[in-house]
Amino acid sequence: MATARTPTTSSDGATIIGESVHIRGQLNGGEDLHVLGRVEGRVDLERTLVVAQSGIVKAEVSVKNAVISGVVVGNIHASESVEITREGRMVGDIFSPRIIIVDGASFRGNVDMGDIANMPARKPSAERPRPTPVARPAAPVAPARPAVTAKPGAKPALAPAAKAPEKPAERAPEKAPEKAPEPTRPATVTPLEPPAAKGLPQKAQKTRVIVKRK
Amino acid sequence: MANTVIGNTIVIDGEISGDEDLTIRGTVKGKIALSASLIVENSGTVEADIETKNVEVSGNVTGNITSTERVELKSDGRMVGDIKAPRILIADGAVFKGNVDMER
Amino acid sequence: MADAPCVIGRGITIKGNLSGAEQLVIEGAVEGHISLKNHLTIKETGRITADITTHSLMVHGQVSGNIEANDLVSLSAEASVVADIKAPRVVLEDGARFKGRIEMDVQLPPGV
Repeated sequence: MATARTPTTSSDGATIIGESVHIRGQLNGGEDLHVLGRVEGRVDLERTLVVAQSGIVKAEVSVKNAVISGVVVGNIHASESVEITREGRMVGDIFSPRIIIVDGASFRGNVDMGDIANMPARKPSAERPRPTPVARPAAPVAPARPAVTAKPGAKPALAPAAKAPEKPAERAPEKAPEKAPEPTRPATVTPLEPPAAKGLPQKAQKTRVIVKRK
Repeated sequence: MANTVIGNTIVIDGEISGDEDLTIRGTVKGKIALSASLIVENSGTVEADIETKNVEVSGNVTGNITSTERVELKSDGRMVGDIKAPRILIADGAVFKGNVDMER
Repeated sequence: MADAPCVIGRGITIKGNLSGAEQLVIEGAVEGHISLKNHLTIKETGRITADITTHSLMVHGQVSGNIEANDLVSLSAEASVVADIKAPRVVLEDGARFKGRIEMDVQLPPGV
C-alpha cells in the first residue's frame, strides 16, 4: 500500500485515481490506470486498468487488460484479458479472449471470449498481465516468493536431518553427498525463475513450491 | 494514501471531485472541484473551471479558478481565465490573461 | 464403496436423464439431463450436452447446456463450456474457454 505513494511509480507512467477522488465523464489514455476512488462514465485505455479494492468503476470500459479487485458495474471490452480477483465484484458483460475469475470473486453477466470452438487450448502458465505494481497489495504473494528461493538451500539441510532418527548416525553424512548434486540443479533453474514467477498467478507459484519438494 | 496523478497520456472529459491532492500531467476538460491542492504540471493541460484550496500551475489552464487559499502561476505556467483567491502569485515569465479578484 | 465415486467411462454414451445422490465422474458422453445431489466431475474426455443441476461441479472437458449448482462451479484450464451458469461460486481458471452467462450474488456497495 505504501508503495502507491512513491514518486517512482507515478513517474513511470501510471495514472492513479486516489481514494477520495470521483471522476465523472470520459477518460482516455495510453498508460496504466489505477482506480482507488471512483470513476463513472467511459474509460478507454490502451493498457491496463486496475481497480483496487477501494475502487469503484461504473463505466463502459475498453482496455487491453483489466484486473478487478474492487467494484465494476458496466461492460468491459478487453483486447487481452480480464481478471476478477478474490475481492472483485462485477456486474456487466465481459468481452475478452482471456477471462479469469478467481474463487471468492462475484460476477453477474455475460462472458464472451469470441470463437471458443477454434480457440487453441492455452497453457495456464502463459504470462499474466502485470501492470506497474502501484496499488497492488503485494502481501499475499510476497511470502510465497522467499519460500521458493529459500527451498533449494534449505532442502539438503533438512533431508539428512529427517533421515537421522531412523538410521544409524553415520549414515546421515552418507546421505548428504548423495543429495548434494540436487541443490545445483535447482540452482541452475533459479535464474530463470524470477521473470517467469513475476508474471505468474499465485496458484502457479504454489505448485512450483510443491514441485521442488518432490 | 496515494496521491492522484493524471498521467501524460490521459485525457479526461468530465468532472473530477475529491478531497485529496491532484496532480495533472495529462489533459482534463470539464470541471474540477477539490478541497485540497491541485498541481498542473508542465505537460498538463486543463480546460476546466476549477474550485479548489490551492492551485499551482506550471502547464496550461483555460478556465476560471476559484481558490480558498492560494493560486500560484509558475514561470512556465500559462493561463487564460479569471482567478479568484485571497492570495495570488504570478511568477516572472508566466503568461496570464484574465481578471484577478483578491477580495476575501 | 460409498466413498469411491461412480464413473461413467470414456466408452459410454448416455442419452436421457441421469440423476443421483452420490459423487459422479464422467469420462464419456451424456446427452439429456443430469441431476445430482453431490459433486460432479467432468473429465477431459467428457462431452456433455445437457442441462446440469448439481451440488458442485468441476469441468475439465466439454459442456454445452445450462448449469445450476448449490455451491462451486469450477472450469479448469482445459474446459470448454457453452452454458449459462448459476451458482454462488464460479471459478474460471486461466485458459478455460467459456461462452455464456454467469450468475452469482453480487453485493454492491450502496449507491452503485
